[in-house]
Amino acid sequence: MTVHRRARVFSLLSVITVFAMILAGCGPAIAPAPAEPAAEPAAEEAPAAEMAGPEAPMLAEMVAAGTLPPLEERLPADVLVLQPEDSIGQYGGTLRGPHAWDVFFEQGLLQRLHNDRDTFMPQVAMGWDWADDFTSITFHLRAGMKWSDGHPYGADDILFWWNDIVQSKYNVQAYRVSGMNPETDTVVKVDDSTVRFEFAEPRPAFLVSSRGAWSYGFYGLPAHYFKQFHPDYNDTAADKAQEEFDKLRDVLHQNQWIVRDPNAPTVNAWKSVDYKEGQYVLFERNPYYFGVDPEGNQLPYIDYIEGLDKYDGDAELLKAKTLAGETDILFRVVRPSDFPVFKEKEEELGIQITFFDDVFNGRQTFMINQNYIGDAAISELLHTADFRRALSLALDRELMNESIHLGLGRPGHGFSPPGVFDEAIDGAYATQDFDAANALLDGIGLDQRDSDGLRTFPDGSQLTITLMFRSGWGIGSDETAEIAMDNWREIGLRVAAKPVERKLHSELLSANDWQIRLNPSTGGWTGYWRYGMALRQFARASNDWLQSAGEDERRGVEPQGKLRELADLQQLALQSLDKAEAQAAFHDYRVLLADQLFQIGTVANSPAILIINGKLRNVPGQVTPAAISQGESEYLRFEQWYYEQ
Amino acid sequence: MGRAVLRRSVQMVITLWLVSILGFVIIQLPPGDFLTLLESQLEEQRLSSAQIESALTGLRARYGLDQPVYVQYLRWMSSLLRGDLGYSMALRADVNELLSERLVLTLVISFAAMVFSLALALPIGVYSAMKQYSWADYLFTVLGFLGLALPNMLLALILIFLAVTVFNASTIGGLFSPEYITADWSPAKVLDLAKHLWLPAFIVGFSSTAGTIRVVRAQMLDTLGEPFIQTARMKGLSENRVITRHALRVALNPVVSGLGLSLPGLISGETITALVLGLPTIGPLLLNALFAEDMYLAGSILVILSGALVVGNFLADLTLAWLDPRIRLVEP
Repeated sequence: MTVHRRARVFSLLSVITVFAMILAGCGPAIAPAPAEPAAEPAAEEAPAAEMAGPEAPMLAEMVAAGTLPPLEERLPADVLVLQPEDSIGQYGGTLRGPHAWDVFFEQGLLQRLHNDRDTFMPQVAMGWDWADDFTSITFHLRAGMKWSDGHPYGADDILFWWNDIVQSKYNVQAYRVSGMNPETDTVVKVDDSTVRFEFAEPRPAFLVSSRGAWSYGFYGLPAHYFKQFHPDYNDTAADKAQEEFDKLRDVLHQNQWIVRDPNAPTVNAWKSVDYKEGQYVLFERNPYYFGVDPEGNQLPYIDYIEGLDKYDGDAELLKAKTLAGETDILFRVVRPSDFPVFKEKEEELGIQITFFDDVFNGRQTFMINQNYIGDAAISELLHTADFRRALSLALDRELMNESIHLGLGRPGHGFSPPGVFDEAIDGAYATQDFDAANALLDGIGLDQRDSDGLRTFPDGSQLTITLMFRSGWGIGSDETAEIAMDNWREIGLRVAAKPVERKLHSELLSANDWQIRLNPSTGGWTGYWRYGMALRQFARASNDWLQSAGEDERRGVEPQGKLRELADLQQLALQSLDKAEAQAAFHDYRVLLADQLFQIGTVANSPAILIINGKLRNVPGQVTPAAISQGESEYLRFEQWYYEQ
Repeated sequence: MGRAVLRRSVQMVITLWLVSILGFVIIQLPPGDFLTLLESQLEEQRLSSAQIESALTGLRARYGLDQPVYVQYLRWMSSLLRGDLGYSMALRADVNELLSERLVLTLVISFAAMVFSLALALPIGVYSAMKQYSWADYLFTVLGFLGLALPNMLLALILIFLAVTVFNASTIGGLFSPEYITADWSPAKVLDLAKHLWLPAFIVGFSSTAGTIRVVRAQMLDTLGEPFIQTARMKGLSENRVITRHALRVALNPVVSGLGLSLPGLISGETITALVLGLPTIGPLLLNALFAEDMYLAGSILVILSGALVVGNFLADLTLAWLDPRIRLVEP
């Protein structure tokens, strides 16, 4: 008996010990949430809350210690005066979150898009002059401007980028030069602070296409820093030169050096000081930043940007981190369905939930292939306007809005810019009406039905349409497809779902081997009024035909009929040198699109949700409405955000 | 014994070589390559077709993608033998640099999961066997089946949810606090790692814990009925000694050989868990590499993982021989 009891004690004890070990392990990690979720460094570093000096306290200290020149010597003669979104800010704090890359991507451009997403404001460049025929543009740089290491910035840095990288004999990879053609266009230095871009043909859209995250290199590279890695400037052996250059090119790839090389100087408001691939990045204010607020205080207001790097970090984890008070900013991964969770915790966490007009994410749109290469009878149907109208009329957009967007959107096509709903355009054939849809289908000869009650071709053969979609791409792709297939069955159409993964999707797309597909953006307005004429989304081969206008042998398929009209409007809107004419063409494009419905929208104007620390100020959208889109965040203007202390 | 070790070593090398071929071929199987994907990206960025073509030709030559597959394999293999794991085309960095620390952390998590799993499974298994059909036995059985049935990914999500809503955790995911991520290794950093390690270790180890409990319980039940246990008791040995020295030692055999086999489960479990918890291990890197058809990165990771598996199996066999004289003495 004693033996047994001891055995039991032994076993129980070991179990208890193990559990205790686990619990002990839990202890430190599950500490109670701090009552103060605001950024910690702020509290120590800027105790003087009403401090409104010309520069950040952390920099003033360095100046006093003699490790940094005084502010007057750091600022250029022509500073950028940035109007704050709402109020003059206070220095200090750390912005934590997974969007550190957005912060750096928006920085350091020659020009920056205004919130109206139509006009531009100066950034690194003080201003610019267009040639009358749009064949050249001259940028005026800021005299006395400096890189973050104090070295002067000027025309030579842009020339280094163009001559020694883009045009280098070693450069075997395409350098992404948005809106320019490296083979025909040139960059000319006028003087130390003036640069002229000369084009082989008029490029009225240059400011748009060279802006934002995609404009790799337009403001140049720190020549004094990168020359040490360039085979033309160091004494690299000839046989190693190509390898050396390739390495340099890799560092410059997608401008990642700004983040990945803490030694490289930058002109951004913050410079990288610490970085670990895939995990972590820390930016610190650039003491030489050329922007000030209207009272002359040097920007940025916030001291540090601390972020996760982009690879590790699942959307659910990022949301959980926000709920645990670990981030000060979260967008893009937040879905309408997450809204209640955050709303519930809004006060407890001290967060603020802001709605933006969403440019990219919320709009599941059906594309009807106008260049389908398969079955001729199906291709004929896809070309029939009444067939496409019937598809649109059958959709239960109210249900989609309620179930996917929590009713925050508006049923319609979403062809208009975010925040705008034009009843005639976005509401065309957009109210569910089975009778009208059935009448249209009967009218185009699809009045035969099989034993299942589904429509057949006039000769009685089975009619099946396939709907291709990438599962989980954009908000509510699968739900939208499911609802639509139910709706289309109601009007007697047999539609088969074809979920595909990314790569197959992209292959079927380039082969034009799909019938109807779901795309998470309309292409109706991807950031700028000139853009978004997305003929290639539903008529890729015809778009190729347009694009290859100058080539000896034209590719693709010449568009016919209404599609041709639409294509001509697109070309006019993209190429016209007269802005009023271009805008009119874009409007006509949308009117024609709404009538022809080569693409069919579902829910428009569902807002993008931005979750920020409740103490942040000057965030666009807080006071006045603003728009936001994936990959473009230049108009968020992070450098004038601040923490109210 | 020495000869057996030698023979196993040769087998290991051959296995690894076959794995490297298989891995390389599997990565090549989907149509297209890294550049096909790049091409569609460039197209979306509205580059002209001439620009795209010149870009791709340059890159193709640089990465050797214009060569036949066997030449690509030989190039990769020869640099692999020199310790150079190749170049990641998508991340534009040396694979060695990308992998080094992540690999260590992956092994740390897998090892911690294994230790956790054994520390929990052995006592519970023994207890369940001794108290067969008691309420505690039933409870552990239910927990065990739950552990087997619950996917790692779901368990991780549930724990994150609980941490946020119930425990008001102030830090979620990752393996380090922000201030230690880029810091050099120090006792403080190790301590910080230990604070974060328990969650992934628990998640990864949970399902194998459940499995091991079942094995230990069944083995113990078998062994406890054996005559030699009766003999031991008749000798007047304490029950503790009977259990630990006589019964458990015999019952451990399948557990130990199972350990070698459970390695792939631990590592793949770690991959999925790492994705959900945002851990800086090779899991997320491997997934991205496979998506991007970044074949040198993906191939190197596959070979390294297989290497870990083969070596793990080898070690398990050695341990088995050390534990059990019957295995040790039979010279194959």
